[in-house]
Amino acid sequence: MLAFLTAVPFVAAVAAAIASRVDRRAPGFVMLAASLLAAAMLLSQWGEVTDGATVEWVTSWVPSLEWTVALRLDGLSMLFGLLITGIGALIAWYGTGYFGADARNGRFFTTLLIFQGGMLVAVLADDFALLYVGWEVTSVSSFALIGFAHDRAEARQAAQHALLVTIAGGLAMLVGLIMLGVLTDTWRVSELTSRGVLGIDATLATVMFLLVAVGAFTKSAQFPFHGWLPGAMAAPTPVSAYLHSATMVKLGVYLVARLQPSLGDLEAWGIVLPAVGGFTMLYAAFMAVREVDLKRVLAFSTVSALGSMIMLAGLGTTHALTALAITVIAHACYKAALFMTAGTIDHETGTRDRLALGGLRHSMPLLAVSAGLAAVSMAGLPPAMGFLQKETALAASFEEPEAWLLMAAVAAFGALTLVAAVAAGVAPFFGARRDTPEPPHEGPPSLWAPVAVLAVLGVVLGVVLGVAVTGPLTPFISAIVSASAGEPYEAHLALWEGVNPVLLASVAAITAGLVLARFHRALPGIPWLRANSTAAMDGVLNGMTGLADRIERLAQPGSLPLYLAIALAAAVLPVLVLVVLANPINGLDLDADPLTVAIALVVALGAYAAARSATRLRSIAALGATGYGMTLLFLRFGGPDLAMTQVLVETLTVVLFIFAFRYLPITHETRDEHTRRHHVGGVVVAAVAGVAMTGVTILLATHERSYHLRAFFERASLPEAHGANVVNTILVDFRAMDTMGEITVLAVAAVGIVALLRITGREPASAAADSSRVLRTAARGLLPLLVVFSIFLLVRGHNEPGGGFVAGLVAATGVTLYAIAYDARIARRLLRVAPRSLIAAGLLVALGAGAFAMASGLAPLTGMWVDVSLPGGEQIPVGTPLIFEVGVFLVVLGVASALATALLEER
Amino acid sequence: MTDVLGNTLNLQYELLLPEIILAITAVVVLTLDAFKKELRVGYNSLPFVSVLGLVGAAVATLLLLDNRGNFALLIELDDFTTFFRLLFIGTAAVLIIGSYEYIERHVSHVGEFFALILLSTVGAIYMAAARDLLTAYLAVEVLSFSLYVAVSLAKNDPRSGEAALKYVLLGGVASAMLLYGLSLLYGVAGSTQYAEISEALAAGTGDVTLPLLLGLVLIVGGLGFKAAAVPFHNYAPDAYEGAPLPVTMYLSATSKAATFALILRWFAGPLLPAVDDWAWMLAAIAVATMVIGNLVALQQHNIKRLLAYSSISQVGYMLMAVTALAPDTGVATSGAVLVHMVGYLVTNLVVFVGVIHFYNKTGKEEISDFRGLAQTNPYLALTLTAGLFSLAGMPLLAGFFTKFILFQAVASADYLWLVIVGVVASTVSLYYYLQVIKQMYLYEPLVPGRWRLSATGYLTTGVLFFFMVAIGIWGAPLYEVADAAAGAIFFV
Repeated sequence: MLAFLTAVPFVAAVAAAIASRVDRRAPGFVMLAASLLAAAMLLSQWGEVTDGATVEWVTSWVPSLEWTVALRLDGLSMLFGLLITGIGALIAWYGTGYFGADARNGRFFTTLLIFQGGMLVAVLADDFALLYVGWEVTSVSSFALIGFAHDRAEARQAAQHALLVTIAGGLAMLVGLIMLGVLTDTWRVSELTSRGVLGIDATLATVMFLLVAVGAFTKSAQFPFHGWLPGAMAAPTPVSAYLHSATMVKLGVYLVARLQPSLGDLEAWGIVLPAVGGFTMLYAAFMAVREVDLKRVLAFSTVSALGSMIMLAGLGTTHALTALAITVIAHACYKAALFMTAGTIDHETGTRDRLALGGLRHSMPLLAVSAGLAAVSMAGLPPAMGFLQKETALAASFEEPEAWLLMAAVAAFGALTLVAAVAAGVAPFFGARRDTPEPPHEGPPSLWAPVAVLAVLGVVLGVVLGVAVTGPLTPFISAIVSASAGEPYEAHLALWEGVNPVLLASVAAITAGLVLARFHRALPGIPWLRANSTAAMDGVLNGMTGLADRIERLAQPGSLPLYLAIALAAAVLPVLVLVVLANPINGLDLDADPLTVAIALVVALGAYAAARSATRLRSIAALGATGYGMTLLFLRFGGPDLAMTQVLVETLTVVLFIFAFRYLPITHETRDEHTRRHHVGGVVVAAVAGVAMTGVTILLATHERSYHLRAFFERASLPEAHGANVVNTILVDFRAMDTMGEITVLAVAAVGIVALLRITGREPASAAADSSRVLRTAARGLLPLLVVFSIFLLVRGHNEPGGGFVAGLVAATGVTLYAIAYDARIARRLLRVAPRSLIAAGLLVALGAGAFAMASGLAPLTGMWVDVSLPGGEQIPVGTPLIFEVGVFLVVLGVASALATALLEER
Repeated sequence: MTDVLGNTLNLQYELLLPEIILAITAVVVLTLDAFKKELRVGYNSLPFVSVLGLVGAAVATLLLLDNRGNFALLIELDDFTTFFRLLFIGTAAVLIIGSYEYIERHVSHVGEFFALILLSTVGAIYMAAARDLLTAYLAVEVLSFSLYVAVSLAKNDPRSGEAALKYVLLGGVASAMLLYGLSLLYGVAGSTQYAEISEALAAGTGDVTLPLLLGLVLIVGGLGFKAAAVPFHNYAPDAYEGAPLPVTMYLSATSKAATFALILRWFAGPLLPAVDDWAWMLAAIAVATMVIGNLVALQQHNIKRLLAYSSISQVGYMLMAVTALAPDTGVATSGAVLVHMVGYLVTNLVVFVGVIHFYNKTGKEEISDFRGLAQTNPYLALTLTAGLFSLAGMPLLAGFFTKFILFQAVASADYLWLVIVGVVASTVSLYYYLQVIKQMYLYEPLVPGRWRLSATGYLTTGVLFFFMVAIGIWGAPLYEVADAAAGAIFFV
């Protein structure tokens, strides 16, 4: 039943959207029917609920987390459900008159129905997730409804303000609810009621309560979050009447009433809720009488009434909860009625300025009577519900420790509310007739009849509850109070309880109100602070946007060096801190060998000069110094293979750099203030990185390590790979697959670079026309030497320092030298074949070497060896890794030659 | 077959079938593109063949559903791998189907583009599937290099080249950091195998703490860059803005999810014993990311940059959950990360496909260009709104369910303060998502007149929209699957 009930509005929303295509007036009637149907479904459970039973519907949601989707109907839910559906029906009726045949009816009523569905879900939900879902559905649909008249900037602003505040509050509530779920290990509200929260840590419980309270305060527009509600008056009146007085804003009240049984024992509950609620009640009641716009008067008076409800929930006694139930009913009846009245007046006269209105009783008699009745209830005069509301609230205050303070506050609230009631519900109809933008006249029944229904209801309910003490409604009030108190309770209500302090306070409030009401037209003149929460909100938003702007301009200007500096600094700073903490210098046995120190100085000076020099050529030369210094260091520490490779790569790199930079401007950049600042930043980051990495290196070098891979290679190199040079056997045998990948990458890179250079379509240049004769002669003499040397390196590589990679580089050096001395074309001719053919051949040879093993059923590139007898009778092992080595040699030679000659030809 | 250390290697190539299919498809697409004239095929054959390959890979994945085991100690085939295989294959399919019109018009070298997407999907899958540090690193680079190139492929947009340059240079630095960190980790643990690292760290003595910490700092830095977490995020907005829209989408979807797959594999697996050493780093980065990402998003005017910052902030939420990994609650927490990741992915794809189709029609990408979309294309406006609300974590949409699970898991792991930061950040995020929604619904269009999406536009957004709502309302199946996948990566 409950699942169907919550589905009704959503189904109707779809129906309304479809109906709007048939008839523009239809969506309103769809909503009317749906609301009546839902109300009837609720009333069908009347008997069970008033007997104190509950109706439940549970289904599993996420089984492994034991999350359910649960709906539960008790007195409290019934109360709100009836408000939502009953007033929903009247609003729908009113809306049909208010909007007429407006083209946007479909959209409006669809949204309103979705809102109604969200409300029903929220008040029927028995688990936190579902409660939150309903809660946020109402926030979002409220946004759409406030922004409905979006051609006005004010409406757009108000819609956004309302959404941000309520959703922020909703998220706070969500955190609170998650905490609640995690701490109490249940996600069901009803289980929480029976468990309570007294077992959990007091601080956590307080934090959790405050988060939930923020959710309730934002939704129910409590100070200081109240600003969105008066702003929301930009919405069409049916929305104000429905969302912003009768239903949505009461969700916060519903939430605290719902949680009262479980959280009510917290100390903070009894302080925060009465304090915030009480202050809001008085402050907003005062603000209400200062307003001139009818809807804003009612809005502030709504905020004030919500404050009184929050206060009563905070007091938490059964009397206070009884007063809360009465207040909710009374307020829904009279406030919705008066909102509709304001809307009708606006609709028929074109203004809502209460100072500009008067004497409307002549032209709108039926509305005047209805509004008058509603105002009686709002004013708290007997025998209407409003009177009962004030009486019960005063009675609840009377039994508190701070009775007089509370009673005075409630009485003042009553008096000011009476003034607001006169200003909004009575004054426009009496006094002298005034000119309005449009001539006033009585609207169609839909514009006054719903007002009449609610106004009459407010009086009838008051009489039934107050006079017939054991009447049919009292068990319902008992059920509501029982649900919000968490224990069975029998309510006793009466309009006349004899002469007591409560009655005296009530009379005093009415008298004061009536006196004050005589001057209600003068009240807007009272000076008051200009500050309001809308301005504060805008301030916060602007502040955040400004901050965002500053961050973006500071850290996100699109500069690559800056990004690099930030990322490096972020990673290296923690490293530096860790290194400093570990103090790598401590206990370090420095054995400074003068030669090594000298080399290190060369390296450092080279790096410094490269960064400092103003021209590119000098930077390249300085980098070269660093590189050759590294070569010496490798040599000094026993890495001849590494040193050899390094010196060749360094040489070729310098040459390629010079080729590539020939046509760039000689100097790096202009030296203005901006770049100098950049340099300083760069120096700092580099220094931090350098120091940190040095520290890391020292720390790690002094650390114990295991060398099992090194041991393996030293052990296996000669017997398994037939080579004494471990570096080489790793490259061409043990990890030949990696080398295969590397030479492939080299080949691809070279082809890519040459293709990029050719893409310009420029004719290759001949560079050597003016090169020196000495160089030519030297090149001619050196080339054979280099070629022989490279073959020597290739052959000895397996057992001595050398190998295909170095050999290829040496040969390529010769080719490059020739290209500089003569011409790229002539150098290429020297090779007999095009460099790219060399590359391809090298790759094929390497692959072929690997294929031998595959043909024998072994994994690719497994080394295969045979012993070959030399003529001298000596046996030497020959194997596929040697062939592979030749492939490497060819690829490296091809790549280096291709790059050098292609760059040289670039104009 | 055995390796040099005497481990027996299992070389069952069929375990790699989905990726083999993807790689072959990439080659076929390249060939088709190169010989378009000779073969007399049009542009549409490229996306068609690509999708065909993706479908084949998906089928292969499903056929391998019950196969468990590893390939040569390098690739692990478990529920986690299967989860990400399907996720990445699906994302690539959505990208191609949802944006092939855009690609034809605004991307240069279309053949390479499709091939790169397919190959990077392989890289992404192996980031999730690797069980060895070096394999994982290679997978990272396969993905990264594909993306460096893809970012540069926008036709007639000078921002594209600049974006690619920034991306590749900073990416190179990040890779170096990562590799250095991994080397240190190897030094400490004596192995590159996840399982052995886990054992070594669990048995670790006090004197390895410092190298381990140093390694972790560098690993976190490198991963932070790959995931675009603050303060390693600077390149992301520029790269996102300059890249062609589908690549932006891919960066924010697959690239991010793959990084998190890797993060989960590492931090819930081999690195979990060292949780006390890294939790503070991730917490700091998570907070910075949530705060800065959401704050700076506030003043963006370009939808791509807005979504860039939005995806940065989503990284913060997920990092927050990784921080909260602990041996006892870890499975639930990493399950929550997976759930959130799927929700984020689906939602983000909805928004991006929507924006791509908006661009196809209008050629514009400023937020103010979206004004009045509710009147000119109500379907697209609704789709985008739902997507943005889902990103903000609104109920009935995937974003709510997944964020709820995520926050709940983090709160259960006693990181309540992180949840509070996350919620405040979410509130801020709502504001900037709202700016777009406001433009669509509360302003009048500059150029009135209705227009429609293409058929594939309706198809992709429709399917994604369905999933977004389905996850939001009935996320239980997703949760079960994610939980099973998360269970596979823990060693303790």
